[in-house]
Amino acid sequence: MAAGGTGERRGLAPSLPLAAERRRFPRPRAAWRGGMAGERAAGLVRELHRAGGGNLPPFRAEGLRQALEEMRALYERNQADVSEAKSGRTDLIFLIRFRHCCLLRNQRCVLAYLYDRLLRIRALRWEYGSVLPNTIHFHMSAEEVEWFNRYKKSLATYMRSVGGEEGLDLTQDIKPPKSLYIEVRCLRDYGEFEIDDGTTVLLKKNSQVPMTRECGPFSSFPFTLMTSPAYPSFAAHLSSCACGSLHMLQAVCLAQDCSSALPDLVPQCSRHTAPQSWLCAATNPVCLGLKEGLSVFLCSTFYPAGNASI
Amino acid sequence: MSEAYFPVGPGLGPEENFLSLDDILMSQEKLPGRAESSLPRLAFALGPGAGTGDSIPEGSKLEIPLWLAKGLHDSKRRIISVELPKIYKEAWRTVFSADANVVDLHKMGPYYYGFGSQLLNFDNPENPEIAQSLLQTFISRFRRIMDSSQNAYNEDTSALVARLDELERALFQAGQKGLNDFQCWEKGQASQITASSLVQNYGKRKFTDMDG
Repeated sequence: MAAGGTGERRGLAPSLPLAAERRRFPRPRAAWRGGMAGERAAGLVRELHRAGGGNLPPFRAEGLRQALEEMRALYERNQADVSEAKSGRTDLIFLIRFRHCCLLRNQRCVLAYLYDRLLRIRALRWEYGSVLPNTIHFHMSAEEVEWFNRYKKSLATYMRSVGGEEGLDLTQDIKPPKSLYIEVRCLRDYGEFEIDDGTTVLLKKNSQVPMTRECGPFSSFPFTLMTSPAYPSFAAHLSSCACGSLHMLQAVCLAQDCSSALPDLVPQCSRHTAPQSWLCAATNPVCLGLKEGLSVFLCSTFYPAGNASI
Repeated sequence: MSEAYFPVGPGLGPEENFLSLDDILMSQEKLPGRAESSLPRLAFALGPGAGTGDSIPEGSKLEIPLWLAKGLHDSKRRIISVELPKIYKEAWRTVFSADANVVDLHKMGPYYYGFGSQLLNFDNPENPEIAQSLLQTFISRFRRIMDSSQNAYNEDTSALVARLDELERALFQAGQKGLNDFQCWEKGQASQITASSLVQNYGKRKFTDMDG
């Protein structure tokens, strides 16, 4: 803190109790209100560093504004002093140099803060998908949301250009899939269902059918929107059981004039009695691009417990 | 741990990485120094006061953060001269060479290696010895860190990590991650479709009642 009023007191009145002394010899005003230069910016960095695991803490607009304000004040003082120093006052050179160091320091802290946040937001696209839940949105500033949208577009353009006709979704299958087929277990009788490559499968309640992975973005969470403008989409709420199998909990039609919900399904795995964890809450429906009229079907990655084959 | 998040890591040796959060926090650490000429006081806002009035007299002792020391230091040494913090001095160096494993490096400034590497930027006749001591300390402590990180599976590691400095903690975490991945693979969970940990963490914070 700036110079206290309690330095050496040779020749002055005998020392008083501290509070009284402060009243009698008030502290000179600090050059920067609130302590050492660069503290605010370093505080931003410290908080960001503490939020480990790649989480995005809320955007500290106020702290950033104060740091920039401090930089502006330092810069203006330096501007004034430089012209004086040029006309002979060399004792100011140290002050100028000190302020310049503080400016550089603030600049570094602010840049690192913003850059690290962008890195975290970028990670969100790869791990979370295109649609971020509202809680994360609240943590981002308007510019960061803008950056996220542009990054998504960039990534989508690139993915479309790679891999031939339909493009290649790089954010799926980050871990190499072990099998070409996924077992799909139906919860309801549906009847005949035609997959994209032309084969039809009969879906009956509790039957299991192997399907290729391309029939749905089942390989990683959360699912990305399948672009199929010809078909109205269903939004599905998913849950997962401890064995790793996934179950669809409820499906809602997202077509323009339709707001019907498909009847609730049994949110349980047939081998376990209760789901152990829920993946999506009601605020984050994901779209599976199911065909029109198709009732729900769920998928499971079938990995029976105890099976040691890899 | 988010797998798609790649932060800028700390710099190696006497160079810092500009955008690295670790390096910024490391350069906040303070260093003892001396004022070589009379300095205007208000500029500092810290430092034990040796007198009242507007300037710090020549020769008084100061504690300055590393970033400021690097900025104000120049070879003609007109403004500031820096001294070594005590843990890099002769006395502590002999302690480290005797047995480095018992020292609590987290207490000695959580950035022992980083800060020590930065000290090599200031011309100091003891620089070669400091560099050597840093290296030897790391070598003697490394084995224990590696062993403990590779063998502590699913347990509370706070006791193991308490005496490590930040660089060593990062190493420990890397070891733990490797161990966890290997165990996961061994159990066959590697091919199961699971939600990413990031998604689960955000999901846990929602206000609807959900199971862990």
